[in-house]
Amino acid sequence: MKNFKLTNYKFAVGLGIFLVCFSMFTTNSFANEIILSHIPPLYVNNDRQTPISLTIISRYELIEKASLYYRRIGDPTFLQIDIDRSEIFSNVLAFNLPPVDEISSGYEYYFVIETAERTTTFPTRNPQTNPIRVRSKSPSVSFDQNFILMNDETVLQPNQDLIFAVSLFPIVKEVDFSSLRLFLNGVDVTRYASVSPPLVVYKRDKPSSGNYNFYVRAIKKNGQTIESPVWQYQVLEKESFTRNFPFDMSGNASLTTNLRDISGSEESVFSRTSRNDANFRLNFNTRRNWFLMRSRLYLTSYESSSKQPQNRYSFQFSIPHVDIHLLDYSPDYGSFLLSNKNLRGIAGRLYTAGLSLSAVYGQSARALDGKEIVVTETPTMDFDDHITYSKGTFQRNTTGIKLDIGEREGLRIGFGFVKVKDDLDSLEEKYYRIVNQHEENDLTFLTSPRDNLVLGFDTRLSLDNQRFIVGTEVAASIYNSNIHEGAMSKEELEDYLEGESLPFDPESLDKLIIINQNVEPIIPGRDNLAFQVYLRWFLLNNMLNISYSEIGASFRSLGSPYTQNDARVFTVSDYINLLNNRLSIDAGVNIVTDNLSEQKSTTTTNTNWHIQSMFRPAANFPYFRSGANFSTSSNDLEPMEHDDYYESYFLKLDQEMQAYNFGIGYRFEHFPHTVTSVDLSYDISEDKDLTEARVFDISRDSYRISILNSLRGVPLTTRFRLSTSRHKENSQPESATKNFSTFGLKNEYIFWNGFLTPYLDISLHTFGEHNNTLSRYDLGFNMRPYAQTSINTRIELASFKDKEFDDRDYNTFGWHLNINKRF
Amino acid sequence: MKHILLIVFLLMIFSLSAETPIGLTLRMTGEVNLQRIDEINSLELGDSLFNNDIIRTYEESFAFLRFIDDGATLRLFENSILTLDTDQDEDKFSKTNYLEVGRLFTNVRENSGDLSVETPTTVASVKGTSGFIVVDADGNTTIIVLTGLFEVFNTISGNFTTVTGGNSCQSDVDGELWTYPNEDIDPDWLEDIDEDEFEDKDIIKIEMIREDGERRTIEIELE
Repeated sequence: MKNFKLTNYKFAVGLGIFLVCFSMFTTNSFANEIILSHIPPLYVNNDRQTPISLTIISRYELIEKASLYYRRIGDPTFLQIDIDRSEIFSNVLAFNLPPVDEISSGYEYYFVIETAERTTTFPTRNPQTNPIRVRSKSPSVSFDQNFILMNDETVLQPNQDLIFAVSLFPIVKEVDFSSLRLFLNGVDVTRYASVSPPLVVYKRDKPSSGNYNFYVRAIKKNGQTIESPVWQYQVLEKESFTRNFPFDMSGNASLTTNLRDISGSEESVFSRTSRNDANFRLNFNTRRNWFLMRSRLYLTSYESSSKQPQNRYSFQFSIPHVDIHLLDYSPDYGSFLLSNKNLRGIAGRLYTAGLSLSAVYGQSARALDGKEIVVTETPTMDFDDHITYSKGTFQRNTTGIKLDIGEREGLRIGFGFVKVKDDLDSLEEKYYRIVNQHEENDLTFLTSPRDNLVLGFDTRLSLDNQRFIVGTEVAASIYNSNIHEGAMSKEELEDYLEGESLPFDPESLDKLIIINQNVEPIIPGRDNLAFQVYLRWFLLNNMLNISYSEIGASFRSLGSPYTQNDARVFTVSDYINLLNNRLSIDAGVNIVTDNLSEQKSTTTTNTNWHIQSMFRPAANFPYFRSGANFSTSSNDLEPMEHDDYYESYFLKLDQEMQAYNFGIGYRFEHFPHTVTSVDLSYDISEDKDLTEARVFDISRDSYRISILNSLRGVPLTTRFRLSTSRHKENSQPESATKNFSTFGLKNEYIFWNGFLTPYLDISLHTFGEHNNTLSRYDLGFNMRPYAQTSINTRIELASFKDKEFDDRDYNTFGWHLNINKRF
Repeated sequence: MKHILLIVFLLMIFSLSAETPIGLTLRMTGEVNLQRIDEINSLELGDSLFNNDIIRTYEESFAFLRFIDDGATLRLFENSILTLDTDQDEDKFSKTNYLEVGRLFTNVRENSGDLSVETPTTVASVKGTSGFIVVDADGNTTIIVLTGLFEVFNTISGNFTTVTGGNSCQSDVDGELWTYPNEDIDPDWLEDIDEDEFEDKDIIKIEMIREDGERRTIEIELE
């Protein structure tokens, strides 16, 4: 039991740490998302500029600045080309890469798009370490006029087959046709073409709408490489009502169903339990000139009137300087005021240059009745038969207002408040309060209605194109854990406070906050404050993050429920690129300490250090990765000082965890007909309790190998994976080592340019002390029957065998289906 | 004997596989067959064409072909039978086709290889021109020249004439050969062919090269 308490406590601390970090470092912004699209050029030119363009698919009018960061391959520093808002007239942004010299092999580049709300990059992940790379055109490649385009019908109707054919008739005797390559949108599609000198013919049946860019490259018998011009074919979209609609429309619809059946023996824990679920998503956007509407619909079979809403209905309407959100919306008013909380109501924002006013009103929880429980007398309990009820949930209403003054680039100041209050009339008394059957005056609250008011202030200073950002957030809260009896009068409250004189009348403030004996704090102070300071600085290839926060013991924010109060958190992390982006290192430390108010008997400190590195010496060399993670959790309790030695023995917390990982990988392209990628990794960790109780001392090590094999000329891909790990409980020498092994093999074959891709995935697992086994077989396919439509389905069969207890064996059958359509 | 037959068979296969395509099917509709040696199959879009291929179109069908030297295009209309044949002389690609019956539209670039169309009664040499060649079931041949020049030879009588743009020529099984101004051409015939197949339009072409090397052409049609 005590072990359970300790474990539970440890879990709570860990969860609290995670939630604090999650609330501080995640953002949840639904509106004003920028979607980017870019097709890299085939190569960069040696003798002239190379134009590149970035397409803004949505909300280009929000762009404050667009930047291209580029550098020659091998250079350490990115150069920058900016386009200011005043120079943006359409959703296509054009840049020019300078001519690349003969020495360099090309350029690396990425895009950065800044709006008032956010910064978006393309590529979206780690653009500095994974920029777009374009090689320079080989100087020996020359354009040749002797490529004859056979089919000059370059605009095709929907459902019309595409034929691309080139004749090299004038130079048929000069060209080595075995070297001929046909490229479609930069991809080598020669294996799908028919080469019959002097003709090269590529055919695609009823291609989807869009642009298709072809060019041909070949080597003459004299060694010269020649290339054709790029020819573009355009396949028009099908006639549909959307094309004639006066508004631009886009979106996607997705339907997912999961059917699962689990069967086992009558004694099996998993006997005869089936789980089926389905969900439907619809994202729909429409715009015309200055009007924009976005909607998100999510329907799930898990929706129930006896639970909080699972379905989501979101609508956003935007016109210049005004945004309105209806129904489900997650506003972000700061870490302490309102964040990561879905509200169902209405929200709006008025904004102009340097000023923004936001407001929201909605339900964060709906009223739910409790369940009826029939209680019958038992030999050990002296109760008459009667009916009681489980606790329900009050409807919780949230109101918030936030004013921001200033620009995102520069200094910005924000003020706001959020009030969250439970509606007492939304729940019948029997679902939140019960009367003791034998003592009428003995009332027990199953759940209590609450009231919460949080005031906040934040500042943000951004310099040097947002490479340097420093900011603060401060908030104060008043929280009432039970407003059932309403506000106390001034006299009642002074009497409760034993003669303390109050400068205000609580009853006059009951519209703002209910003040009675349950309010926290009664006397405001540091305990009901929360503050945070942070620094983000991009300097010399370093991405430095430093943050410090303190949240008082009495600070409560029902609008930001994941903040852990009575805690101090300090975080430093740095991400650095070295050796021309060949080496990247991510390191940091996070320290969380509770008992800020020193009201608890012990103070617990959790410290975590981490470092992770990735080294890629060169393109044709193996890559290496390694990392380490250290964490400690301890409190300052001294067991001998406690009255109850045995109890304090198990309340003492002193744990340590160390983990190391190493990996190496390489891509083999030397084998004929195949390209193989191999990845090996080794992990080792130790997790131990350092107290005298030595509750646990677990050692783990694991080996993993993954091999991905693709055939040249045949669209068959095979993925093989093998891993094995051992867990040893050192504090119990008599316990056996537990082994965990996994073997996996997946094959997929691509038919007809990706129209149909069937696959078979087999995985075999053994685990536990007795080497129990779990076998799993997935058979499925991905299909693209129409333009922007995909169907994914698989059948899943699994079988679990318990080597020690046969009656725990079970089998599962699952069928999963997903249909997705973009429009 | 078996070995000899095998060698001959292999040589035939080898010769066939060594043969190069002479053209390509770029557009078609309806039912169109391709006979190659003794094998008959449906003609498919993108099919390469070889010497002695016989193309047959049926009701409400047509096939559009282009030769590999981009020197000429042929549009074979419904209920027609056409045999292809070419000969390469250095860099010139001579195309000789036999229209057994039906209707054919030809479009030939100037200074490309010769194109001639034979019918049961006629040989028409197409010189940088566009026009229709129609053969009825009896073998009577009508040539309608839209642009350029046709040289027409009646194989029965040996008579010869030239036909210029805007004129037609009739060559029949009796050996008669005469020309006359174009009468009203069936509007459906003219709708069937693309506007850009009339090369004799007053068009100014401006070719440009983009910075990435891609070539674009602007065509300005003068009225």
